[in-house]
Amino acid sequence: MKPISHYYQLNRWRRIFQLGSIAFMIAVPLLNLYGIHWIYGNFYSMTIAGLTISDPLMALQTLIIGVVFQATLLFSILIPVLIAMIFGRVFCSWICPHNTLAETIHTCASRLIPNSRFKRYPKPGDLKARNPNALSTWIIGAFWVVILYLMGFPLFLYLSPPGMLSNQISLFIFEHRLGFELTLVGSILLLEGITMTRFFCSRICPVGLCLGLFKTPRSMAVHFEPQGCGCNQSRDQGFEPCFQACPLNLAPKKRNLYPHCHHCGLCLKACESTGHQALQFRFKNPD
Amino acid sequence: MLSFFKKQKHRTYLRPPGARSEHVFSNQCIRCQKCIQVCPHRCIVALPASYGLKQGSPAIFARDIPCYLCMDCPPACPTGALEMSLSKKEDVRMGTAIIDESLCLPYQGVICRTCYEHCPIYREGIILEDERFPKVQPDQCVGCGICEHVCPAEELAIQVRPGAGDGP
Repeated sequence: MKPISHYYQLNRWRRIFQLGSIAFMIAVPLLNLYGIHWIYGNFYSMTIAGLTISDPLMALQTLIIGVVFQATLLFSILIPVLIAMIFGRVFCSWICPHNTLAETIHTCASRLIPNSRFKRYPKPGDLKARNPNALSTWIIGAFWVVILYLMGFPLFLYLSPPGMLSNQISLFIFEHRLGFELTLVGSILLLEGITMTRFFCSRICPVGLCLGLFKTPRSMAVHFEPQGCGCNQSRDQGFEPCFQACPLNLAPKKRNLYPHCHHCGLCLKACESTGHQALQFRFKNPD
Repeated sequence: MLSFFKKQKHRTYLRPPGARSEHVFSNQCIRCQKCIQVCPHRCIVALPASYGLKQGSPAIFARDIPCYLCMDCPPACPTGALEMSLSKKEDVRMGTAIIDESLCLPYQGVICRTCYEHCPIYREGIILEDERFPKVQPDQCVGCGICEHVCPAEELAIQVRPGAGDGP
């Protein structure tokens, strides 16, 4: 039995939010269908009791290729931007339905195929595990922006899984059919399954990268204190619970954690369960 | 770059009230489906995948369900693809109705006032010439498609040409 504690509780809240977001996605079109209109929209943009919240990526897209830019769109991205500035990419880990799906698939797969790369078990002595280069991730983001500008077509609509999923659910409820966006989400999940990594979520997804843009030196981050870490000194060198717990296969103790990390808090929970407190969420940049 | 995909053909569907010109609209729209969700008559539908890159964007097929000009959708649009400030139904310009006189019943000698009576811009959008022949007034017509929906002629005698002044 795991000790019930701070990050364990946090993760439980995260699960509640994830289930809630899926319920929300299904409930909103149903409510609209039966004539209740104080809440409407999907993960591209939604309005709750007159307050509009939009995806910052969609505002960026409109800024790049759009002809008309509305001030209301700028106001509507304020809340997501503020959350991203304070807490980082928590949208991905707490709300994004694609992440919930991918996490579920990967957890199930890692139970079914125990010694696969779904869960990375570093070999004893293999402490060279590194995070992907942050600069290369930003180059991928810049590549999307350039492609978007050249195409002059709202490309990000087909690159943001949370929006596509909620869009499809609404379409199914209203018109009883499914569009081809579902194929895109399915192929992303399939590719992530074949490669056994979560490369899309951590590196390619423009929604997450756009939220990662708003990270400041003072925003919440995973902070590593080498003195508190007991796993470095332990005899079997492969024992790194934080590393194994990360659903994105990141190494929380190493550099270049951002913009890939989306603060799911599983590494902190794993660290906590060993009885140490080397990993903490702090409002101070460790780098 | 994508001009290859753009067919210079007339649209067969209307865009929701307040929509900007077709090219601007299809780039501004983020497929958030808010207009579809707020529409009380469920006349706005998402374009099926057969419409290529425009699939998922909102459209009105007036023959099935026309726009009843409740003006709920323009304020719901977050991006400005639909003009947010539009609130008067008389200012809507979704298209212009065109009467095919070879099919229209009064021109064939049958008494019919269906489109005239159902026009939401009553006695301005469609007028009756000699108390008999319906005539569309292009300056007043909002292009809601109600006339197209109610027309009893077997073949479409009145049809809304989308996007007045915007081109295809």
